[in-house]
This record gives sequence, structure tokens and C-alpha cells, in this order.
Amino acid sequence: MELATLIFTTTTFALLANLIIAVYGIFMDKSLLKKVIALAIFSDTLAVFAILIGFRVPQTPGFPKPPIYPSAPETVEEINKFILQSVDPVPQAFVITAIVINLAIFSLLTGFVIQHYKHFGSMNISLVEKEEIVDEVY
Amino acid sequence: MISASIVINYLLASVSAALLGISRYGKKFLDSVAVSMAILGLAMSIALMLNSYRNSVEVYTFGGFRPPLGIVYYADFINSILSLLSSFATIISIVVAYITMDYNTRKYFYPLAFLLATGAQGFIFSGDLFHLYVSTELVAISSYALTGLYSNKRNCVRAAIIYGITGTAITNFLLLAVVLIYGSYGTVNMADIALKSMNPEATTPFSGRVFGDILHSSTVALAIMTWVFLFKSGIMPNHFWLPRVYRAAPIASIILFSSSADILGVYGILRLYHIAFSCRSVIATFRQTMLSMLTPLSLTSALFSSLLTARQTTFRGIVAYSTIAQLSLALSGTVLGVPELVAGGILHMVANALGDTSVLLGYAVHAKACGKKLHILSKVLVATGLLNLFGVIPVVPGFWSKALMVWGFVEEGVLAGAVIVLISTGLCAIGYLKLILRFFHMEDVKSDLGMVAKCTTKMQWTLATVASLLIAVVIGVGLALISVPKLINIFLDLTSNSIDVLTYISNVLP
Repeated sequence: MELATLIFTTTTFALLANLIIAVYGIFMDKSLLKKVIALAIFSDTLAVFAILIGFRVPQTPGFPKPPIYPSAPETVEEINKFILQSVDPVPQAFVITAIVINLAIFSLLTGFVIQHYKHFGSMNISLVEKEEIVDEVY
Repeated sequence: MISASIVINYLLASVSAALLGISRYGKKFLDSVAVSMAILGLAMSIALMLNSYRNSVEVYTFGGFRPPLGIVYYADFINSILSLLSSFATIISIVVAYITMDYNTRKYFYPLAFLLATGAQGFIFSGDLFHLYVSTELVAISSYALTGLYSNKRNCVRAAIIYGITGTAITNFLLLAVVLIYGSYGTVNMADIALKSMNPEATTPFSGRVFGDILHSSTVALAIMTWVFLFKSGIMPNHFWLPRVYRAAPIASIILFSSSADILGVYGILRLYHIAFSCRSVIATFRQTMLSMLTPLSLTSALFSSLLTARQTTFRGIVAYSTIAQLSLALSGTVLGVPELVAGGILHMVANALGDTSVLLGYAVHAKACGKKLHILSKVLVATGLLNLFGVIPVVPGFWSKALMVWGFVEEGVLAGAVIVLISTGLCAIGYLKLILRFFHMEDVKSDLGMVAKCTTKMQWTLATVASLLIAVVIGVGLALISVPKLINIFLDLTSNSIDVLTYISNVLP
């Protein structure tokens, strides 16, 4: 097996294992803070997976090049050759957007977790008492 | 151009409201700016609706980059109706916030409400899957914040955390599906995906041809996206967050959720199954299997949530389970792809949103205690809303949506569908009857309006205008459908054009 294929396969399996652990943490862990941490691991794993998708484009043997052109291309052939050797940059653009969005969401969720601790004195979601039914206009 | 203007208007409104909230002029101008920008958004949505009524489709390419290179906004009849609904609900929610929240809460509510409207409108118009994901996240983050707006209430915080954690996890799966599709199709443009899913040999400028075997990635992506959208609309068994959120969130936020955020799941499934992966796509067999599962799932969800609506004792609980029941019925209509059912499903989402909004506004007006005349108006409002949700009298749109769905189910030979629409109506009616009896016999609705309980003359006029407008809209739509029978045929034709994949592709990729 080639080194590039070995690294690709290992990374894919590692990501899958990470995803399973993160999903377990999100849905099964009792601590809200650990749930948020598992969520962060989950979204980062998906981000790496998205970047990995960009590696399907290079069609030349060996390690692909980063999607940065060192100097201005002069001919169409040069551009075509570069496309065949480099990684697809679009998934990376997706990921950077997703990272920014997740940053906002995790900040908000962490704020809510702190509020939860203030109200219930615990971050354990199963320890807090039964939800009271409120039927008010506010 | 109008579609993009609507989205940009709400984005500007969100930024302006946030800036005004931190400036010293905020107290003077915040409400006026919020109402003005919401009215501007509604005016543009009406213009877009009239445009699409003349059978014209608007395709807007951002920066002039032709698709599939750039992001495209696509506005046809279905998008225009949902955009109009979202804009209308934004105004109502802002008025409800004005009467039920103090300034210190409103200055956070307005930017978040406009952000939610931006995301919802972006989702509705988007012809690009990644933009769809970003819009979903915009709607999601503002929904979490709007749920937990009263951080001093423990119920609100708990609901916001549960909604936030599960919602974020599930929305991340949408990104996974989008990336899978990009990996196979080399594009995230919906028209391009539709074209290549029908003809994998097709080559389009900039995105070229598909990569390898698109069959497996398409099936996985379709399954993931279906699950995400079912969660977003709270269809059973993915509904666990919705009643909790509706029981805790402020009234103004619930109006936005039921009219702008929760309808997006059903709309997303409609676009996914009729445009991106149509019946002519390479995964037609898998698509058919999914559809044959979605129809019983949505009908079962409608049946169980109607049962739960009948068991509820609080107005928040009834609104929550009724929303799940009505959205499940709308989903059962939209998935089959028959024009009568799709039109019925879309109209049903509109009827449900108008019904929920009427009930919630009625409760807010009642709690505000603004004198005898408004007290009567609040009762009329709640009665109109519940009649619309019940949908057995032709003067309300709820009747026509159910009639169209029953007609569609009978024509398709899915008699169980028609029967469940009727049973669900009967079961929900028990809940509505309990609500109306309680509302009419209860002089004081429990409220926690605190410092904002004082009702000024300005507030009285605002409330009277908005409440009358809402009643006029609900009754007006019903009367228009009775007096001009031709409208139903036009509605069916326009809906039929909107779900035609070839029309979509030819409009976006000329």
C-alpha cells in the first residue's frame, strides 16, 4: 500500500471513530459542559472530514500541493497542471465559514450553561428537578 | 433583485437595531426603526408575491457570477408565499415584543428577530446548498437566543440549552451532507445538482462533471438532509425540543418560530425531493423508498400529535402540539408531489402560522389589559385563530388547505391520508375547544409582564390596528377563496410550475 493511501485510510477511520465518540458524548453524557465539549469535537471532526473531501481532486501521483499558486500563471497549460496537482480549496472555504458559525454557537451555549449552573447549582442535566409547567404570557 | 433586497433589508435591520440598542439614542428610535424596517420588508415581500403571481420567476445572481459559480437566489410562487408569511410574522412579533417586553429586553429581541428573519428568507430563496446551511445556522442560533431571552427564568435557560445542543449537533450533519454532495457533484448549486442527478454525464461550465459514483453519496446525503429537516420542523419522533421551547420562549419568539423557523424543514424537504433529487434522478428508487416512509411517518406524527393536543391543558402546550400536528399534515401533503397536495401543504403551513399568530397575539392583548374594547378584540382574535386551525368553515384558509389535501389524497388513492386529515382535525378540535372555553371564562390570563404592564394610548392604537389587520388577513384570504373560485386553479398551476424540476433548471442554468 502506498504511503499516501495509508495516511488517507487511517485518517478516514480515525475521523469515523472520533465522530462516534463525539456523538456518544453529546447524547449520553450527563454534564452539560462535557456535552458542549463533545459538540466541539464533533463539529471539528466534520470540518477535517470536509477538508479531506478536497483531496479527491489531485490526479497526479504523490502528495498533493496546497491550493496556493506561488506566482501568477502565464499559460492555460500551467493552470491546468496546477489544478491536477493541488487540493480543492472550496471545502476549505466551507470549513472556515462553519468554524466562524460554530464559534458563535459555542459562545452562546457556554453562556447558557453558566446560567444553568446559576439557576440549578449543577451542570448535571439529570440531577435537576422536574420541569415546572409555566403557562404565562411574557 | 427583490429577493436579495428582502434579505439585505432584514440584515441591515438586525445591525441597526443592535447598534441602536447600545447607543444613547436607542430609547428614542429603536421601536420606530424596527417597525419601519419590518414594514419595508413586508412591502418588498408583497411586491415579490405580485411578481410571482404574474407567473414570473426571479433569479438573482450575487455579484453577477453566473451559476453554478456564484450564489443564486430563486423566487417562484412557493418561495414568495413563504417569504410573505415570514415578513408578516416579523411585524406581528415586533408589535408583540413592543407590548410585552421592556426596553432592556427589546433591545436584544429586535436584532435577534431580524437575524432570524434574515436566515429564514435566505433559506427560502436559496438556490445553493451551502447557503442553505448557513441560513439554517442563522435561524438556529437566533432561535436558541430567542428561546433563552429571559435568562432569569430557569425554564427558558433549560429549554434553550436542550434546543441548542441537539440543534447544533443535527445542523452539523447538514454540513456533512453538503460536503458529501460537493465531493460527488463538484457543485452545491441546486439546479446543477438536479441536472447532474438526472444525467450524470452532463457537463456544466465551472463545475464540470461528477466525480466517480454519485449513487452512494447521494443516498447518504439525501437521508441525512431528510433527518435534519424533519428535526427542524419538529415532526415526530424528532419533536422532543418543540413543546419544551414553546412552553418556555417569550410569546413574540413563538410567533416567529411557528411562522418562519419551523416551516423551513417542510419547505426544505419539498425542495430536496422535487428539485435537487427529483423522480428522474439516478437515485429514483431510493427516493421512492424514502417517500414511501415519509408519508406514513408524517401521517402517524399528525395523528399522535393531535392526540397530545387534545390532552393539553395549557395554551402553550396546545399551540406547541397543534403546530407539530399541522406541520406533519403539511409534510404529508408536500412529499407526494401531486399539485393539489403540495398546494394544500403550503396553504396549510400558512393557515397554521396565521392561526398560531392570532391565538398568541390574542393572549398578549388580553394579558396587557388595555380596556374593554381591546378585551373584546382579543377574544375575536383567539376565536378566529382557533377557527382557522380547526378549519371546518370556508371563511378561513385552514378549511381550504385541508380541502385541497383531502382532494389530493383521494385522487392519489391514499384514502388513509384523507381519513387521518379528518381524524386529526377532530382530535385537535378537543384541544381548541378546551382552550377557547378556558379563555372566554377566564377573566385574568396569567401574565408576567412586570414593568411593561401599563398600557398607553399609543399601545392601544397599535394593538387595535395589528389585531384588526390580522383578523382581516385571515378572513380576507378565506373570503377571496370562496368568492373567486378561479384562485384555486391559479394557485394549483403556480404550485405545479414551482415543483417542476425542468423549469427550475432552465431558469437557473439558461
